[in-house]
Amino acid sequence: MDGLSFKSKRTSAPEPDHVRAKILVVDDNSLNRKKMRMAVENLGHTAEVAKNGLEAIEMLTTASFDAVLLDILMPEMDGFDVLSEMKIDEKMRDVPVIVISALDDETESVVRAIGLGAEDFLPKSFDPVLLQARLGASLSKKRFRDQEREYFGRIERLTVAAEVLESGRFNPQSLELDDLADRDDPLGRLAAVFRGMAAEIYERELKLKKAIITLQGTFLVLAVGLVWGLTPALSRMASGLGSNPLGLAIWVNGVAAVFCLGVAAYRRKLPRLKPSEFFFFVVWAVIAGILQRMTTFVVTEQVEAAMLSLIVTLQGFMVFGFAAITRMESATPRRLMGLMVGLIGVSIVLYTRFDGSSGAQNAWLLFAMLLPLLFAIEALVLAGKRPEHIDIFASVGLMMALSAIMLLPWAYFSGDLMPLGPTLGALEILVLLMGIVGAASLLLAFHLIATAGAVFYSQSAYAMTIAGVVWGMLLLNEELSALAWFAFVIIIVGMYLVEPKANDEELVIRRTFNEKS
Amino acid sequence: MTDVVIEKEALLRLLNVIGGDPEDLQELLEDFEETTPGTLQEMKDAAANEDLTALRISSHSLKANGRDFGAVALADACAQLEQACREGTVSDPVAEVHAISEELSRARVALSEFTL
Repeated sequence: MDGLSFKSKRTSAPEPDHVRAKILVVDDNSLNRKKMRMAVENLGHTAEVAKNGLEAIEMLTTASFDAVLLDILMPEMDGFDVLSEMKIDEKMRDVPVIVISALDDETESVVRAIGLGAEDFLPKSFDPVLLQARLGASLSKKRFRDQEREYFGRIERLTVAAEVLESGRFNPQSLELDDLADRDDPLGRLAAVFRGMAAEIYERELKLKKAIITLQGTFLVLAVGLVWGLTPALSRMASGLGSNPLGLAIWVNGVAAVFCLGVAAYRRKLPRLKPSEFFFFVVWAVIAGILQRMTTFVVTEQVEAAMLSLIVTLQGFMVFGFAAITRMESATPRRLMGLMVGLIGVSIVLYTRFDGSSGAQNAWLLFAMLLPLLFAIEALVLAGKRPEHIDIFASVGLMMALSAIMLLPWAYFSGDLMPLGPTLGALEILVLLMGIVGAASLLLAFHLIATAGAVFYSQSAYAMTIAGVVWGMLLLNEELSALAWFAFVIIIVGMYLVEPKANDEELVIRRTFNEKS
Repeated sequence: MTDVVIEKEALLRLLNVIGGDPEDLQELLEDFEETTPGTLQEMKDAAANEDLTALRISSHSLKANGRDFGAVALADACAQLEQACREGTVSDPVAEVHAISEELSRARVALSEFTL
């Protein structure tokens, strides 16, 4: 108490657990106001004064007070009006009011004021001990009410958090318990335990989900690579049966389009396209159907196959670079390292296959870079601009149909149109098979980009290279060296490091306990 | 003027209420000097306009001040006028206020000479 300067002759020292309250004094008489202010300050509280009812309401609206000492008889807005006004306001309702009255002639007024919600009354000529007692009682009642309300508010929030948990959302952030858990009382500790357990479960589920997604993604990348790696072998077989590449492409794309659109129609998912969506499919078809194909035609004539495979794998780094610049996906050193590891793996596979004698000229190697660039652009366009509400089969079918239609005039003028059927010969069956394979690889790629992101997808170039080796082994009885197996493992490690893109959606855990209908 | 104009107990109670500092009481006494003529003027205006509501409120106000400062006669006169205003039985408001004004003058003189 040494730090506080109380007046020497004060009549009532504050209690040990005295809490300094903020009191509003309302009186139209300036002498009364000053007296009341001095009396309140004598009790160790702070006082503010209002000259009339209107001023009192204004002050109660803008600041918070612990109690009001209210004169009744005032011009314009009297004490009764102030009470009525306070009781209809959410914020003022719970501020206790003590009315000040000259008891001798205002008994009725006091009764009326209490009926209007006044907490207590005080005669005009009061004893300081009486003021202290009544004010103290009102303040502790208010404090108790405030505590009670605050306590129930916290219980309410814990209940809400429990409901959030019940709906399967274990993310500690969505429980919104942080400030509750910081409180050092039983309810605070309960909230902390609650949040802690939820966090533990959430972390575990998150790790599990991540592992599953990575596993699924890896499987899909391998599948895309395997299916795509099959195409060159099938193309060579078709070429042996007398087909030309351009005519074959039109038939294969056409078959894929009919297959995919057929599935979409069967699932009643054929879309109505807006012009902007149609434009997306045209762009995709130009990139995948024409530019990639033309570049491949030119480059395969000039660049050694093993070297080309290596160059194509650069698409992963291109996608990564673009994603890093645009922040489309997270570009961490870990992911970059994963891509590097994959590249090392592919390089090991290709190392044994380089044919040093026919090294391509540097200019052609540079031109060959166009191919991974086109693949990268395709992946990024699919990842960023794909109209998500359109069915996957309809999307792939539309692109295939558009690219077949675009290739038609080219084949017509170069005389590469290739008549097939009506009898089902070996070539016809092969074309059907290639159409299905083409559709399947695109469907897988499309799904992979949508779920794991463009960067992870771009590793399918590695898988394609590996697949080329595997198919060679299966179809052409080539021997797979131990080095190739080692490379294969390295590429898988790379995929683990790259990880599919992070999912923005909150993880919702399916719960089995306490199910509600 | 037979009675004491100022009741000492009332002033001691007021001193007690405001915390016991005589300087604070002195400040209040000065305020009494300064503000009561204004209240009286309000009463005079109300009486001249025969505005019983305003007269009642200002009588009430001066009554409270009179009680606090121990001016018993002043407070009682104000209480009577307030009561009459409430009941609507004021016969000559100007005369009533005039009587109160004399009580106030006496009280002011007595308070200015007063020592605890």
